Amino acid sequence: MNVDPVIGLEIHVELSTQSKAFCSCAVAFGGAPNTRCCPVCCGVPGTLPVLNEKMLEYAVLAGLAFGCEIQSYTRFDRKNYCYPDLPKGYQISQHAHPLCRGGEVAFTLPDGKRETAGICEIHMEEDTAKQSATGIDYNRAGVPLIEIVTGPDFRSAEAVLAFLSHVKSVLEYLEISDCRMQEGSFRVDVNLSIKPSHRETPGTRTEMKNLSSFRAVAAAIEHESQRQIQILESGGQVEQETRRWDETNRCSVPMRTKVDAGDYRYFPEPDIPPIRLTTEYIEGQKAALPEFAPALTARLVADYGIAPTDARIITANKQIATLFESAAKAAKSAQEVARWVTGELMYQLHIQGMTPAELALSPATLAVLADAVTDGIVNRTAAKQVFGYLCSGGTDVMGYIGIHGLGQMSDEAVITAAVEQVLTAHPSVVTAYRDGQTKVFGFFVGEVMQKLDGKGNPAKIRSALQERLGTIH
Amino acid sequence: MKITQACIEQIAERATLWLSERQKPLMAKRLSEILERLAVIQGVDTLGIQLEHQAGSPENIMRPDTAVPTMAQAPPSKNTPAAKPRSITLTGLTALQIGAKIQAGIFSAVDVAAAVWDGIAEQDRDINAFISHPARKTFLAEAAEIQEQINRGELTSPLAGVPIGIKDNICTTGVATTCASQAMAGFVPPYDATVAERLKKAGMLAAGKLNMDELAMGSTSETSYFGPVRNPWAVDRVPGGSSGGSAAAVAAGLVCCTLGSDTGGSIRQPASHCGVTGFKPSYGTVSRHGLIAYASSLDQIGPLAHDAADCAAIMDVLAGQDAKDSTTLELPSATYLAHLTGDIQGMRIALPEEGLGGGVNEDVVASIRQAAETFRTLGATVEYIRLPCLDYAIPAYYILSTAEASSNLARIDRCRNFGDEVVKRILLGTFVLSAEQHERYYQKARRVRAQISRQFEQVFQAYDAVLMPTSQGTAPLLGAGEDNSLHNYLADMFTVPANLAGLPALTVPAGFDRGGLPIGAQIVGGRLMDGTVLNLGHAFQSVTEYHKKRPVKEASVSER
Ligand SMILES: [Zn+2]
Repeated sequence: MNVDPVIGLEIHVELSTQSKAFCSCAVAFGGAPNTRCCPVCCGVPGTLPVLNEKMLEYAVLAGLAFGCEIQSYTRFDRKNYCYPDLPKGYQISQHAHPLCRGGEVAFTLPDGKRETAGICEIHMEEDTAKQSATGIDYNRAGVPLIEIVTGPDFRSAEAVLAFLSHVKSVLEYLEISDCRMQEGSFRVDVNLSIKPSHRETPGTRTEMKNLSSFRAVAAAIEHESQRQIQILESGGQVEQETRRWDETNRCSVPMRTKVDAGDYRYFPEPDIPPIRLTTEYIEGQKAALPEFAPALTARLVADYGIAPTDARIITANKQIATLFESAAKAAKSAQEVARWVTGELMYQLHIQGMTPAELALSPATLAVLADAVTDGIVNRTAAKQVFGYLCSGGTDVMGYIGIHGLGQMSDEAVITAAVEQVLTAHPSVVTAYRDGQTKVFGFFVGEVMQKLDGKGNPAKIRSALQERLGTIH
Repeated sequence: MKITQACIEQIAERATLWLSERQKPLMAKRLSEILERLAVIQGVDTLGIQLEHQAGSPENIMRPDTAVPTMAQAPPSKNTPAAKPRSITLTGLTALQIGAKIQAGIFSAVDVAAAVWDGIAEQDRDINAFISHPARKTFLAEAAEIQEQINRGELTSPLAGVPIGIKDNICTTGVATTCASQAMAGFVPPYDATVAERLKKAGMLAAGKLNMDELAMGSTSETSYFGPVRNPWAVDRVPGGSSGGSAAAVAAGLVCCTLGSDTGGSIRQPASHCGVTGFKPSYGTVSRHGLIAYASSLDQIGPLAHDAADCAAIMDVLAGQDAKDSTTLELPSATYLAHLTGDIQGMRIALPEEGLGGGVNEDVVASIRQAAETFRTLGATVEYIRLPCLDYAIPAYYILSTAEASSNLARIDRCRNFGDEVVKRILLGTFVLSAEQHERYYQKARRVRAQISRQFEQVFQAYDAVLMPTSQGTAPLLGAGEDNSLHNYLADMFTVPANLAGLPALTVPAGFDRGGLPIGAQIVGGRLMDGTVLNLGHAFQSVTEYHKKRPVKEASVSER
């Protein structure tokens, strides 16, 4: 059967406001259960919601960033359903008048191909409490969310992942969400149906929930496509249902749903007056939009002469991009800064399991280190030791170089003497070099560097070696 | 529309409501009956009507994004030991008069508290107006603390030291708030309603929590889990409802003033039946924070007392924007008391003909005509008008209030037993909001509501107030509605329009029927014209004596 999956996404994003959507409880992850809740978010009778202005602002920013039309009239509706994690018996959400409508997002596939996906709407709502084995934890109840609903515009897991990376990057650049899938601040539901290529319209769709990583999203799309294809090929009917992805067993299972689960009995939330947004407000927010990753990548290449591949690595994270640009402005060589950021910095983040936000490195210090390398004060090998010191909170680059004797050896007499010793000690290798095996040159450089305790100026070593080897015939 | 038992079971499942085998056929019958009555709104012309979110559509005042540490503990009270109270009598005194005597040092707050406490302990057995009231020692200690503040000159409010009863659907910290429902058993709010906080700040003393219809759903105060409230004018009669305890407590002289809540007439109708003055403010005037919601877009807390002046004084304490209730409005700074000039010269009053005929009791009609005459003698003009919306306000109200209630009550554990009236309203609300019926009932009712608002707007372009009955009749006998759930269906027809349109409305005692039962006249004003309405009531009471009449305590069985 010649088939295409038709995929649409619903993305729930927790906004990183200080306080919750409708009360002043703090928004944070983790911590002891029920330490960030109050009568309002616990649904104590008699309490009323009062909208957090930052929630609205963040949602407007997201809408603008994804090219949506911000509605001048928007309001909250009650979504009524009964579930233990819903303290009020309804969720304050938006239904009839969502904040943002329409919109189109262009994103790049790994092979460089450009694609676009439509945004149907972005609306605001409150998060639910969390059910655990020990009971209900209200810390998450009332955390502000936006839900981004896309059109059924994706045909492959690859396209979905590229889109999600783009969305995540935009939200991070807006600094309105942590976007941590494992912590649940970026949750993706996948709607999928199969469209046999001879038919005009796609078949019955299913909704997949509980996808806690990009890997899970890809696996779930793959798995669900196959499952539906098999049903259709054997002449069966796909049932419209919500399925839960089981990451451990890597399969999806139907979620138990009630007969009337779909009837949420929406009606306008009477406790929150509607919101009217002026053109000035919307234009003001538009002016406050930051430069996003694709534009920033192009600009860094143009302004600092760094390689596009390096620029893409740097702009994958806004904090790293900001660190790079500030350091590059202060340093003598932007390329040298780029080299440190894309290399050692990424490595340190990886092995220490840190996020860029947790990094102690200041741009000024990074610039000093890059300049020390550019100026030949330290070589890169020794500078890596300095970098490790900086990442663990150190700030005094020159002092550290001095104390630990990491300064680069540039004394030509000493270098020449070391070169002499190495060549004398390895006559057979010298012979090999002379016979045309020029790749052993690197071996000599390493040996000389070792003799100089790793502090030799590599350029000087190279030229001394070339000069000496050139004379040996 | 006929509702089958199977249909009822389906609606109950949707509402996650447990029904007994007895309730299933009963609810099928009641819902069928009511839906038949609601059909009338389908005929209301709402073409081109612009929907409004809620009355007055206030601007959404948002909260700054600052996190506050969780659940601050209330500071322990100081518990000042009270001096031994002197025996005083408060009979016939209004809240402002008692307050003035306290400020003048004629009474101490402790004397007043003791007299009120002892009066409740002694006389409430017959009335059942209170669900709970504080221990005598605690109550007197609170009074002593207020007296000290008065002595130090820190409390100059005209009502400082005056005890006030609070309807038991208004949260008070650490005091069980039951809404007269078994389903609320064990609920002790961890916070004060904004109105309770403001009363405290003004030095008023919470004298106890008042009985009512279960969850404010009813107009007789018979559906209370704690037993029915009795009308002090005739204890075999109901006091009206849902704020029946609030009205009866004032009428019986247990307290001189109380707070009630009004969703469709719940302050005004019992005030009318009990011969007291009751005020429903404009929607958005008084904070609903801490009021157990019945229908959020209609609910409003307001005062009941002997006269309009007391109502105005209490409104001065209650009213004003509250950061905890987004639907409250920024109000002009002038006090309500300042509006009570008693001068209504040249005011234009409209008298809807619908209030003077049809099913309205002829004694009530006579009292309203007489009230109109009184206003004329005070210098106002009175003209007849037609107010067609009175015919379809009730169905719109029923649909919208039950729809909101079905959602508001979802936070209350539904495995527990609700009374039949509450069950009926939750089922009806769930039904009218369901996807299949939403457009036909809920949306249509919203349009009708907007149409009613518009009709009133037009009236208030030409008039300052509308004068009409509060209720079609006087207080019915206890149990009169037992066999007929629609017995009281039209009881609220004159009161619900003010809730639907968010208007201020005052009920003042305006006469007695031939059986000696009180009759209340209702004065409805334009949006946010609360001061005008109170002043009209005040002017009326400056030349009438009905509000000064008190029931004779011995009267226990009415003659009728
Ligand atoms: Zn909270």
